Amino acid sequence: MKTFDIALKDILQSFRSFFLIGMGIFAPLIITALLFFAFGGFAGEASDLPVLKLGFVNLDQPAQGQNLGEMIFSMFTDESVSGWLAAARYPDEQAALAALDNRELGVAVIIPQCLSQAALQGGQGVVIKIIQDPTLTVTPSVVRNMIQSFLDGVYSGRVAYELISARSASAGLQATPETLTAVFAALQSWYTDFQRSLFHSPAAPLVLRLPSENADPTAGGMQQVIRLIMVGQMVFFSFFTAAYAMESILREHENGTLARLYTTPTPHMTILIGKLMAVVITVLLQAIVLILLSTVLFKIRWNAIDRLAVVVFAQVLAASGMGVLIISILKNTRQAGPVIGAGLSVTGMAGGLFTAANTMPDVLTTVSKFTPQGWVMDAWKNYINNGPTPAFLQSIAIAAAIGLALFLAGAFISRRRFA
Amino acid sequence: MTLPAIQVTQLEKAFGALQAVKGITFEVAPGEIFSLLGPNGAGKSTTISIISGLLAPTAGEVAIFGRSILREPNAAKAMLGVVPQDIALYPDLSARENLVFWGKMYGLRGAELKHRVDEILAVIGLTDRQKDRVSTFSGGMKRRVNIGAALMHRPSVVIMDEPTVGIDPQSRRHILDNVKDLNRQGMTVLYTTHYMEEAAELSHHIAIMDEGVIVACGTHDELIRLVGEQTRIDLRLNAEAEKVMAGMSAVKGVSKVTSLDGTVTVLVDDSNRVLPRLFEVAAQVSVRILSVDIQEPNLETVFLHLTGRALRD
Ligand SMILES: Nc1ncnc2c1ncn2[C@@H]1O[C@H](COP(=O)(O)OP(=O)(O)O)[C@@H](O)[C@H]1O
Ligand SMILES: [Mg+2]
Repeated sequence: MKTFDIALKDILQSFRSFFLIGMGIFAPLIITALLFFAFGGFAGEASDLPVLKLGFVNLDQPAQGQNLGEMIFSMFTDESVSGWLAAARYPDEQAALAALDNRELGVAVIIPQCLSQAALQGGQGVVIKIIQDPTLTVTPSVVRNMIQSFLDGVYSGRVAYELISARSASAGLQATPETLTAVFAALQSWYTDFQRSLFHSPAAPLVLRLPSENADPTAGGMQQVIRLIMVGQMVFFSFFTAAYAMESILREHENGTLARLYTTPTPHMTILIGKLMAVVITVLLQAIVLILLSTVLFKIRWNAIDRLAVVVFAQVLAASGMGVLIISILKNTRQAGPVIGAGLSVTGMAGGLFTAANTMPDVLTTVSKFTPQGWVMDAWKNYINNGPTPAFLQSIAIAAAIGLALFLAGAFISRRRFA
Repeated sequence: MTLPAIQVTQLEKAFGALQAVKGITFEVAPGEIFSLLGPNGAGKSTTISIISGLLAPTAGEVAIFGRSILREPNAAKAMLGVVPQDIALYPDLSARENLVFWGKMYGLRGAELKHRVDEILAVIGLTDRQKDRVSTFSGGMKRRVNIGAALMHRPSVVIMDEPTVGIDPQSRRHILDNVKDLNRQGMTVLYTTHYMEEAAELSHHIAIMDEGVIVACGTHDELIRLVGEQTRIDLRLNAEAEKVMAGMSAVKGVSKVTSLDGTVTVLVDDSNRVLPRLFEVAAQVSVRILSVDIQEPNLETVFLHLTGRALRD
């Protein structure tokens, strides 16, 4: 019970310290933001797709039955694409091109007069014109893709239909334009469904998202970069936080509160365990706060909660272990500042925490294996890259084992000194 | 026979070659205020630290109401309330939070703890400022919290190590009155100081300590009687003290002559009879006496008599 009281008191003090909060929470977030800017993370298109304005000119005049141009137009006005596409009709090509020139449109689609006829009855080639604003890249090509898919469907449908009608004709049945349009109506509704699932379902093969929002870790992109930067900073500063949290034992030794604790009927081991517990909890809280804040600030998605928990566990153990050991061998708080600062900066950089890349030069990789931070970072990379379970668990085991060894050594030395 | 509140037997403490405490023995009776009086470096804090269980003695034994601080430290410590010489509080916590924390360390919990915190805040006069961080307090206020924290568990014995060093007269008065109040409520107090006025005002018994030994122990009056209720005369001279010291020692009724910085201090039985003789001695060697200061016997005189040195250097 007293152990918790002592831990709680230490945590409360830490959270009232501007220094510890600034160093433990704000510094990693700010540095992540700065590094991310440096990597061009926020450059280019904004986090939401800009709405593409599409001008639609339908000159299609089918002799009878369904108007394919209208089907394509309804595809562009479907609610599934309303988030990024706004289609409007224009009477003719000149009007649409003028609007494009005035930058009122991002893309113009011109459906020729003979589309339905050509598609339904075969024969001469038709040209659908797609004219785009040259400064836009992603979205107009999606429009082209949509039309292409639609027409592919139409043509393959017609081939299939002709095959069927040839067979049925030989069986004495007659293919009429009416039955043909019924087939295309069915095709269009299938295509609309396909599009909906394409843009809404997370399982869709093509998901329209910006690279920095890319949920697929294997797809690379900005999400990957910012996650690497964020975990690097989180690891870096978690080691500092642990060391500074543990430094409280030196402070208490110097300001007499430790001696005062010894005059109370509290076993020395209780006091030491309380202080060690405070270090672990402080570093754990720091990780949780950073993960939550980075979700909000940088839109980082921390998936696989079970793996995340395991990595955080390894990180907390390694950081606490290092902090406890460093403080246990320091004489006083005057030594603590420079030793913590230099020691953890050097080992942190050697550990590859500032290299926002999955692969580092061999030399750096080797060097990083000599630091606890390097192993924690290894575990994080395994987590981010969704690596195979054995490799993931191995990196966790090594980081945690190093952390535990440091922690026990530090606790042992501290016990001889303070308990 | 009742057990002594504190029993110190043949206590020794060496720091390497330095023998800070050289085998002292004394007893503090339940319900009394007992002072250790001595100059800086006498070994008071070292003695107090051993009694509080902070330092292990090199030899000897300490018992609190019969419980050995060495063999049953937690039982003994539970009866002690130790007020450290320097402020030992958490500056980033409020006065209340500090008291709550220290109360918990003495095993208080729940409603009892809350009630006791309110009580102590009232006693130390900080109820209004209880939510403020200790770091914002004046030196005197910090000292009062420092004392309050040691009283949370209503200890049978309160140990205070020079609690009035370096504070304003008002806070000092407050603390001395506190000590008397606590004692009136039945607490035994072990108090250390190098101010003889404090020892004289507060104590039932005083142990005079110097260089690791207790040179005398008793009530205030008993100690005064040690020097035969002698009066102390300080003479400031226009020449070196050596010129007159031998002559003055020879005067009838003079028991001791010492000197410091051109001032000669003479212990006498009756200043009215001796003072004219002292002027004659000075005149004989052509030394002028520039000022005379007469002090009726006090603990300072006792210390001087016993050690040949002034209590304050
Ligand atoms: N931790 C220590 N290490 C070495 N010497 C010490 C230590 N504590 C006290 N001393 C020495 O022991 C002597 C007694 O000190 P102390 O008990 O603090 O005296 P007081 O409290 O009467 O002023 C002094 O000479 C002091 O320098
Ligand atoms: Mg002292």
